[in-house]
Amino acid sequence: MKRPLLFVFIAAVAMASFIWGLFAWRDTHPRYSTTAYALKAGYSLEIPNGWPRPDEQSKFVVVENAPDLRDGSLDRFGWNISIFDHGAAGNSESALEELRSGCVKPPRVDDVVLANGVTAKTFTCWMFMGEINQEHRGYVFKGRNGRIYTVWQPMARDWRTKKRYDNLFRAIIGSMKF
Amino acid sequence: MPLYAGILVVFLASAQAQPPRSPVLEAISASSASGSLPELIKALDADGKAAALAGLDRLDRAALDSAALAELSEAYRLLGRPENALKAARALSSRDGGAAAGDAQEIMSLAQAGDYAAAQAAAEEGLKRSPGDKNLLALFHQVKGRGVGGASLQRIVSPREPPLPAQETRPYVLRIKTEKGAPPPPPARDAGYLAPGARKPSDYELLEGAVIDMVRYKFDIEWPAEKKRMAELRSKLDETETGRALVADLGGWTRIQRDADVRFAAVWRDGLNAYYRPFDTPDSKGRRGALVLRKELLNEPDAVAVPILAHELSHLRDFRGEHGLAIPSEFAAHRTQIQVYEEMRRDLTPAETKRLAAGGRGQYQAFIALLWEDRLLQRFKTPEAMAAATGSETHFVKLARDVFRDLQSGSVAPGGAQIDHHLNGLNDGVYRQLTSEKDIVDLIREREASGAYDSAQRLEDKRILAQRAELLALSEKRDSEFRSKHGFKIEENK
Repeated sequence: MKRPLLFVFIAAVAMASFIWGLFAWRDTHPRYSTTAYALKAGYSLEIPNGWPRPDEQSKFVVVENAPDLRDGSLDRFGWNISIFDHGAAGNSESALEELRSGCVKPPRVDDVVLANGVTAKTFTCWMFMGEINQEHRGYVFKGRNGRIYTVWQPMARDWRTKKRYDNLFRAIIGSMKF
Repeated sequence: MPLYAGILVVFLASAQAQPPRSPVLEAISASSASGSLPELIKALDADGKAAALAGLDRLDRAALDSAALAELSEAYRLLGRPENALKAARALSSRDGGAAAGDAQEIMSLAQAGDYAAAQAAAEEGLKRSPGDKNLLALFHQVKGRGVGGASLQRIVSPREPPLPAQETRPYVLRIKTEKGAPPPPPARDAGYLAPGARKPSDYELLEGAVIDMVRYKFDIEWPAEKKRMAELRSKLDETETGRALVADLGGWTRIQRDADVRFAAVWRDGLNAYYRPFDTPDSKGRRGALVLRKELLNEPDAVAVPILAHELSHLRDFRGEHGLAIPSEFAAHRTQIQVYEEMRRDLTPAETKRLAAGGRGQYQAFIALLWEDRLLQRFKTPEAMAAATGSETHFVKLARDVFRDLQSGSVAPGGAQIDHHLNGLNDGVYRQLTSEKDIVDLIREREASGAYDSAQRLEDKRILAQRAELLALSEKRDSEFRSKHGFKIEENK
């Protein structure tokens, strides 16, 4: 009698975990349609529909999400990336050093292949914000046009939101066409 | 001869003016020793206390007036007999006009016995009987939320904040309305620390936040080098005018160190650099909280570590070691931090300035000082120039762009308002996970509309409002004094 009960319990836990995993996967791997923007900086980006047009400043471009004000939404707060163009004469090593100069601890740098086939160096590190720190992700890569780019991304504390925007912004960076 | 007669008359008159000792004092100390009840009891040895208890037990309660009954209850409490104190308190409550005093004694007796839930219930009942009684209200706040089973955790994450009067609606709320074209978000329903829509921390996260760091702190060894560095930071803070005033407000270093364990310690979470955390019960040295700087700050330049120490001391000043309103206290603490930094920055050598700009911590300190300063649009032509002035263009350029937008559009005022917005702005604030002041207004309005607004809650909201107003006014006063003294006049932005 005890064994079937145990089996039912394990099956229920497994089913609940599976359903929870499905919801977590859906949150962290959002599906969305995009709009392509050709920027003055000389490349194009694909941004999720409904997000504001990328803001082009003289030396950098800011891509921000459109906060969703619905109660409980993962997109409740504004998240963004800043893309910097270091020019064709830029040096990826010095750009990487500059990007991680403010890190609380020296981060480990990994290679990642973006959706557009470009290989980028990436790291996450904590940046000092007074009595607290905020985690950031940095990317450094050489575009197909020969120019060096860096990307700077503040990250959420909640793991699910962090993963969601990590995936979203990585896809946006991977949509860069030069 | 007439002189001696005069002295005799004065002596006799003063002797006659001496009030008779109450029966409770008589029962405690048969000798004619003078002093208040606590002083008399404190002076007793173990045998004296036993004799005093026996004397109190012999008293006929029915023959005592209300004042003597209150004294009897207090005497029992001071002698460590809360159950007897409770009986005396209840006898007092049943007397005409003795309700408030009796309730107060009852609450204190229950709290002494460790039954905080019953003490809270008694306080709520007492406030219903005697609404507005300040003594009961103070006791209610002392016992509320204390006790076992996670109550202290709840206090860490859910201090209630005050509502925002309509005329003080924050500029960033307006910004959201105009720029995003969306209505303001719905109010939080649980008066928590979190903004509406944000996820509540899980039980594990609460455990991580409140317990693990505390365990790390408890088992941390304070090395001589850390003590030495902390002493250096203290003396550096004393060299600044803002720091001296802060320490003086707290009663001097001796008092601060008697009240709080000010030290370096290991902090488990990467996201935290410093904190002040009250203890539920004082530690073996009688200290009521820990003011901790992360060990990684040991090797930071003075201009980084000293302002952070001032920041945490500012929290201590706001609440005198208790939990309080997080957001107004953060506004004040950041101003204090910046003022100390501004004073220290003037005396830095070029080499020290360079070292400061080379590290992330120094860069951030410089960034928030810039936010607080005046004439940003005149001094920096572009956001890149403003960000570059911190030592790192990359890290702060997006925030600098936002500052430029806000100043140009007038949606956020210059100076202190920029700091407030940076800290608690709805979308990008450092403390955006904390409840915004707007949410609190909505919440209290909702309470009023629901009709389920009991007198205790209403009084608590009033107290919170008063505390918030006091915190903000004091911070603003200190800020404007510092600005006029050191030449940071924000009106120059106009």
